[in-house]
Formats: sequence, structure tokens, C-alpha cells
Amino acid sequence: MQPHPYPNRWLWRGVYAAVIATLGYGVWSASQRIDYDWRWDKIPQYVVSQEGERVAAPTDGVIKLVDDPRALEIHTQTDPPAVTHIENVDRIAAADGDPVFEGDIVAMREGYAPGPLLIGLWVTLKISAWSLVFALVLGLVAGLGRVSANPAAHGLATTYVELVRGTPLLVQIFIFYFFIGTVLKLSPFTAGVAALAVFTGAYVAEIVRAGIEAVPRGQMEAARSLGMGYAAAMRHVILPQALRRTLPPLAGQFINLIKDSSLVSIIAITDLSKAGREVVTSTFSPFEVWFTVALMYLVLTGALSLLVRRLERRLAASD
Amino acid sequence: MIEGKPQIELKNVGKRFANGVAALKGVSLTVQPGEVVVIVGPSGSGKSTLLRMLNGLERVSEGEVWVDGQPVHDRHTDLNKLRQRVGMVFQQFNLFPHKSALGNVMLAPRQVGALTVAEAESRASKLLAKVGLAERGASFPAQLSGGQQQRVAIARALAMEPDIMLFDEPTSSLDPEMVGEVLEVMQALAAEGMTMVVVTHEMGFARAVAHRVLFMDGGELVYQDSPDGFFGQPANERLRAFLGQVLKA
Repeated sequence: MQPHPYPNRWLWRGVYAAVIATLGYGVWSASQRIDYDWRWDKIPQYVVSQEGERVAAPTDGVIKLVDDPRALEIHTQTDPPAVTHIENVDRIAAADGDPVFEGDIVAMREGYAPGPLLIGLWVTLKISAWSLVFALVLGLVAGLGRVSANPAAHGLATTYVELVRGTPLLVQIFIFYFFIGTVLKLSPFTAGVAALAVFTGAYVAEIVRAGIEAVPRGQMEAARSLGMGYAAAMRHVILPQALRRTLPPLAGQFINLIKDSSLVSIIAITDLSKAGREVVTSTFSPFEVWFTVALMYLVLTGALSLLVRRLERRLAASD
Repeated sequence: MIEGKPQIELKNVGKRFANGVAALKGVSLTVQPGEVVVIVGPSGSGKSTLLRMLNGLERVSEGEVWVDGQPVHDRHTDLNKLRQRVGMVFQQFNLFPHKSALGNVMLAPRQVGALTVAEAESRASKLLAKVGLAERGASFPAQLSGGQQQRVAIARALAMEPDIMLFDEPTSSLDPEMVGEVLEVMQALAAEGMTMVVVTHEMGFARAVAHRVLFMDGGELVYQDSPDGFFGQPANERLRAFLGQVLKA
């Protein structure tokens, strides 16, 4: 069915553009008034660095320069010395005869390398992806518990969901990092993933529960009337229908997860937000940095919602 | 099945829902192998509840329900095993919308009967042919008419090769022009000697196919007779009033 075009739609598109332009002008003129020195040119190097790759000494030893200006050697101070060749460097950062220790920077290779913000984005992506996997598993199990008639399963799942939804994520991250992380000797990254997975899992559980309850009762009855057990009926009849319905709310929850992951920056994980804070301290350009960080989050969440919309369309087409 | 031993036997069955409403009161009934029993009555009279007790979808509050020699009222009875021998057809079809017609019929043989894909597929194809839908195996429920969906549902209920079939108002949500095709399939099934318990408002079907017609009202089994006696001059005031209403319509 082709809907009728909205009356005067070009007029209303003009109104939209005018409002956006007015808001943009307002932001710009406000920033003029506070006497802020915009330095956008400083930002790109923190996204993609042109410093190139630092070449570290693989062993302790003494630098020995060779004929090739793009190569050097490190001789250990043993007899006879073991010789390490380092080739294809663009700039040598040591002089002949310098003593070096393992890990010292001895040369540079030119080229592009990810800057702190891009590295932070990668950490955010990694932490969100791991949390997503565990949150899905946790949420599915807890969601099944929520609809179960078994008092133990139902009680445990309900307690989990209520506890997690009733406390702030920030507090949960602290508990995971300082208490559970200390007891189980977890790295900050693991503690962060665990906190985010447990938090998101509770919301996924409620989404799964709603999805299962939205499947008509008759579906379970039809499956059971054929002699299928509860588990088989769930797996082959109820869940395939329920999960399809839960895709849009799940996508929203995972977009939340990416945004919530910024909170792990308080437990010594250098994610995108923490990287942003660090770049602010070295550039003194908080406005530009935070706008850039926001844009990078937006790219991540936008890509995810685009992906989900495609998946939804594929599922709808297979109906 | 030994002749004379009832295939279904209800002894003084009562059902009380959690809210205290009594859906069934003291119903006793026997059904012989190969018998076709039709249950009629006003809505809310407990006919569907009675039917759903026969395969344990509804729990018995009091009394005993015996099906194929198994005590359905007993919590220790393996209902999954019993239900393989008791097919059920629902008013709303309840086909699995994410599976094709063939997939709907194959699911139980694959998951419950542990048949191979090839075995399940050949059985499902035969059953779809039996209900006149040999060509529609690949269609999904949403692509089928109501009558076709209900015929797939009958094929699905037959997939575990049951010896009893339960029908819960199988034609009540169909458009009038599709009622006939479903009743035809049911009539063919009855002619094969299937034991059938049918809850329906189709008086024509009851008259033509049933061996015995039951009238339920207010949770009680009020009257039962052969179709001739039932639709002739029944000696029951409530039944005459009910028949007067439905046959006039």
C-alpha cells in the first residue's frame, strides 16, 4: 500500500532544516561568547597517529651502526657477542656504541598507527562484544527461569533480575572490581566484562521473558499434545518464534551496552571514554575531544542498528 | 484393543479452577474403540475442559480418567508417552508459523519418534496427501487458507499414529465455505475406525458421523443418546431448549 504523501512536505522539510540550522548557530555563537580557543587541528593525530611505529630493542646490548642507513645491529656483551639485526627502519634513535636495555626505543618506522582514541574505540568494541556474548547466554537462561513453573528456577531468576535492575551499574562495576575481582583475582578487563554482562543479562532476561509470553499459549499446547516434552517444545516451537520478536528490543539493549561500557573507564580500563579523558589532559581541548568521542560512539551504535535493521528485513522476508 | 474394554473411561470427574469456579461436576463416560462421540452444549458448559482432560492438558480435580488403560489423573503417568497415542486438533489450528506444512507434520516424528529426516518426510507427505494437501507441503501456515491450515493440523495430529483423536471445535473459526473440507477429512477418519471425541457445533456432522451424541450443560453431562434419539424426541427439557436454539439458527 502506497501511503499518500504528507501535505506540504517540502515546507515541513524546510522547517526541519531551519530548526537544525538555528540550533547549530546557537551552539556556535554560544561558544564564541565564552572565549574558547577551538583547536580542531590538534584532534586528528589522536585518532590516527603519524608518529609511526616505535622499534624496541629485543635484548640488552650495545648499538652497532652498519653501512645501510636503514638498519642497525645490537650486540650482546657476551663473548662471542650474539648479533640482532634490525632492518627497514626510517629513523635511527640511537648512536653507535650506545648501551641499550630490552624494550628501549632504538628506531622509528614511518607510517600511520592508531592513535589513543582509535585504540580506545577498539577496547570499547572488544569489551562490548564479550559482554554481549555472555549477556545473551545469561539472559536466555534467566529468561527461561522467569517463565518456568519450577520454584527454584523462577525464584533464582527473579532475584537476579530484581537485584541487578535495582542497583546502579556504577555500583555494580565497583563491586565486581573491588570485591569479586579481588576475591577471584580478576583483571580489570575481566571484571568490567563480568559487570556489564551481568547488568545487561538482567535486561535481556526480561526481553526474553516478554518474547516467550508473547507467543500464543496454543503453541505450547499444540507441541505438548504431540508428546513433546517442555524442553523440546521450548527449543523447537516457542524460542524460534520468541527470539524473532525480541530482535528489535535486543538491538536497543545492545546499543545501551555499548554506551554503558563507558562506565568501565573508572576501573583502569582504557576504553574510548578513558582515552578521551587522557587526550583532554594532554591537549587542553575538552570540547573538541568530547565531540569527537561522541561521534565515535555514534559510529559504533549506528553501525549496529544498521546491521540489525538488515537482519530484521532478512527475517521478515523469510516469513 | 480388546473388544468390550473401553478405550476411554471417566469416573466421576470434577474440575475446579483456581478461582473456585466448577467447570465439571461428576462426569462419568466410557468410549469404546472405534467409537465416534460428539459433545455439544452451550459455551461454558465444560465440553472443552472435558476434552482437554483426556490428554492431560487440563488437570483433574477429582475422579479418574483412564485412556488406553493409563491413569491420566495420576501425576506419575508419563503424559508425553500417552499423548503420542492421542492426537488433538484445536479450534485456532495452532500450527507452528515458523515451519512449513511439511515441517509442522514432521516435527513430532523427528523429535519425539526419533525418525530420520527421510522417514519423517515420507510419513508427513503421506499424511498431507491424505488430507488433500499433497501439493502444499512447502507452504507456510500464513500462505494457507483456514480450511487448509486445519487440515494440516489434522495431519500433524496424526503424525505419531495415534489411536484416539480429539477435536476441540475444529470448524468454529473457519469461514463457512471451508467447514465442509475439514468435516470431510474427519468423516474419512471416522470411516477408518479411528476412536474420536469431537466437540463441535456442527449438528449435521453429529447426525451423520457420530455413534453417540452427548449434551453438556453447566459442567454436567446431561444427556447422551444415538444421533437418531438425540435429534428426534429427546426426553430432556434443557436439551430440547438448546436444540431449539441451535437448529433454528
